[in-house]
Amino acid sequence: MERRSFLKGLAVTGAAIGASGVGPFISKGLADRKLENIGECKSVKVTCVSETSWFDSPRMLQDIKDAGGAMVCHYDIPWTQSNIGGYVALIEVEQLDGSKHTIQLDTGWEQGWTDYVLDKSGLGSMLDNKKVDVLVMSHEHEDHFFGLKSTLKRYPNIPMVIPNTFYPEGKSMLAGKYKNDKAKVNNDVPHKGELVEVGPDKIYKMYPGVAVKMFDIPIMLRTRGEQCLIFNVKDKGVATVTGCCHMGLLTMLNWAARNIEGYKPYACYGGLHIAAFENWDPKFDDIIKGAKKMGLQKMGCNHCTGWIWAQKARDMGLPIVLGTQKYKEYKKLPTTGPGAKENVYLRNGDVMVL
Amino acid sequence: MTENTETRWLEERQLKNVIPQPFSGLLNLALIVVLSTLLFYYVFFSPAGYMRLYTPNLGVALVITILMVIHWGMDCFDFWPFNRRFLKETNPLVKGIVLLLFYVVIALLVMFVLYNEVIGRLGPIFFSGPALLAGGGLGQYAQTARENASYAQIMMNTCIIFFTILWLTSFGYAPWGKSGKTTRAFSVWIMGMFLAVIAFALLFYPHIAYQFYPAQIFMAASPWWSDWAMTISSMFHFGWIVPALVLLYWTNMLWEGRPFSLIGNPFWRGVVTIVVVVLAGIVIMFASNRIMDWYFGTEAFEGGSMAELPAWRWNHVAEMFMYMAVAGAVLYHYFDNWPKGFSLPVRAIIRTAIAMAGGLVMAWLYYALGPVFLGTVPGIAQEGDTSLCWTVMFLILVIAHGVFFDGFPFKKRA
Repeated sequence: MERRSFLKGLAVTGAAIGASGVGPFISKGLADRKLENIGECKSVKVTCVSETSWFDSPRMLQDIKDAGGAMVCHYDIPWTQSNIGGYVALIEVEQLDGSKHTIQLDTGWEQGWTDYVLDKSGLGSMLDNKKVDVLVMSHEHEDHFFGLKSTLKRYPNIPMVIPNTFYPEGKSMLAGKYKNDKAKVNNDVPHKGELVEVGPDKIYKMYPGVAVKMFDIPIMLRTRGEQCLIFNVKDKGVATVTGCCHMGLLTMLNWAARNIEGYKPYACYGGLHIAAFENWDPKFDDIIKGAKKMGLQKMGCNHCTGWIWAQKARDMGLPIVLGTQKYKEYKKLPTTGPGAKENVYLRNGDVMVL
Repeated sequence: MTENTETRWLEERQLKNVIPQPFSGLLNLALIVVLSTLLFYYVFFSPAGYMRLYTPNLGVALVITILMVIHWGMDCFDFWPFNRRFLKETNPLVKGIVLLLFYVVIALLVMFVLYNEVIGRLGPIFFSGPALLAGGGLGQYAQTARENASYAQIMMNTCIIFFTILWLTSFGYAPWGKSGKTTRAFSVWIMGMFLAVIAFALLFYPHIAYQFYPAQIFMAASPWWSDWAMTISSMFHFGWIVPALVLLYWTNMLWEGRPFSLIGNPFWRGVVTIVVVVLAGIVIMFASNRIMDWYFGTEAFEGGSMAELPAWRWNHVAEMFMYMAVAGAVLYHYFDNWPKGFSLPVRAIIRTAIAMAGGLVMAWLYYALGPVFLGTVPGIAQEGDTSLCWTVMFLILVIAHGVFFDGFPFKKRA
């Protein structure tokens, strides 16, 4: 079918949109869009500080169901505290001139767990010593944002990049004026550093070869907007690092292919929000088929990707990067994964070099 | 069903406006908008309300089940077991409350007893959230088990509504037209369900088999539509069934039975109606997808997400046509199916244009005001979200208000 050809063309050419075979299938407005030159970097190293936002999916889903389902506001759910962890990633970028930049993605959730993983990974001391250049918040979801205090108490002046769609509760969190006994979230340490709010219309270029793209999308649990990090690695191609990727892996790559100058598919890391709670849907099979046509060389996935999706994707031939057993050194283990035939997740403590 | 009254109640009943149009219609519409959005939606469905049934699939399943039962009562059974005297003489407020509660209670029994505790426990387990949960296994957790079961119920009940209305529109009560009211009502009722079961087996069952991990490959064929649909999700079929259903609504309300009623032979009228409506539904779905390509500036593709997700596109066709169905119902029930003059083709075109434009306005209002009044997140294409909960609920209230409550307080029986 012609749409299948469209995807194939997208992966094969990966170049200037006007010159590719996808032109006829894209509306005139998009075809005329100016491509973004984000420059190039030499390499990217991603450390999984914590990808375990919850340790037991059934418990997490029970909390959501008991509160009224997936449309209820995440600030209005009495989360089971013993089940929650958080999502944090550390990204170290080496520039072509040898200089380095350090980026923290997201701030975790439960304070005790977040403090624990920050210390264990060394990111905590980097924050204490102001060695982190910027904090990028992927989105406002509880497991990526509610642990904000663990970061700000170490480095309140840290420059921060957030989507421009935060709700008032999120803004209060940033101001250090939020306390919620129901969801058990609070922050009394105000953010004092530079705050950049990224909208959907303009890509935010942080460093050569490093950019933030925000997607203004509605998300479950009354959240709006998610942004991802895009890296253009010299001689390799474009890699993405995501928190949850609620915008969708293929939609994100599709955007990159159509908007990043010299786009060449290379890699992805992070949550891909597919079988987030180890549940299946026929749409997930579509993503595997579509992803195979995208031409990625490395896929490091974890968090809300869904273990069963990662396993099925690997079985179907996608380049899923296997993790190590390092996560077993952490004080608490998730219920999903241990005992599986392969470690299809990059779990806590794992490193992916791009 | 003891009466031998041949004229259907809704054909016999005449309403008149308490105050002149358009004020009667506008005031009744305002009343139902306030009631639906501020009271009913907030109490029963809103994520920030009391019962929070919009999970989202549970809420959608509930309103579609209620709509199905109302169609059974109104179209198949001509309000049996309520007799004509009750319908004629009871205070409209009392009658409306009794009828609405009666059908809602039956819907609850269908959903929570028949599906959850009988069919799901003893037969196809995927119709019952509690049964899926009790069975356990990977992915069968509280929220997903309920949502998956609700999805199956939504699709089954949509098929039942479609085929029941399709039969009544195309064949009427044939071939049981000369039988007693009881016989013909039960016959059409059973025929609607029979056809729906076949359609469900062919159009939705493969999706159900593939929504488990691992895919239940010995339970159903691989979804055969994926090359056309760009997805193996059965939303593809929902995307043409709902517009086709809306065409049936419009045929009966806005087009006064035309053009199909021009065919004299009941058999050929039936065949032509079925073929035309189904084909038109499919054409509408694909044409709507092209319109969305233009509107969103991007195409849906296999594996895409948000507005690029094919399954969402097909569902969005259904959503948009349900807005238009609601607008058509408002015109019919509140504004006396205006205009009454002109030739039938001209007034049918005007009414259809009003329904389509009204539907688009309603959709715009939903997405613009939903975050304020309904607790939704700004934007469209939210994962799992659908406007169908609100639109079907609104349609139910418009039908109930116009039919059960006789349009009280700004209309009354003549």
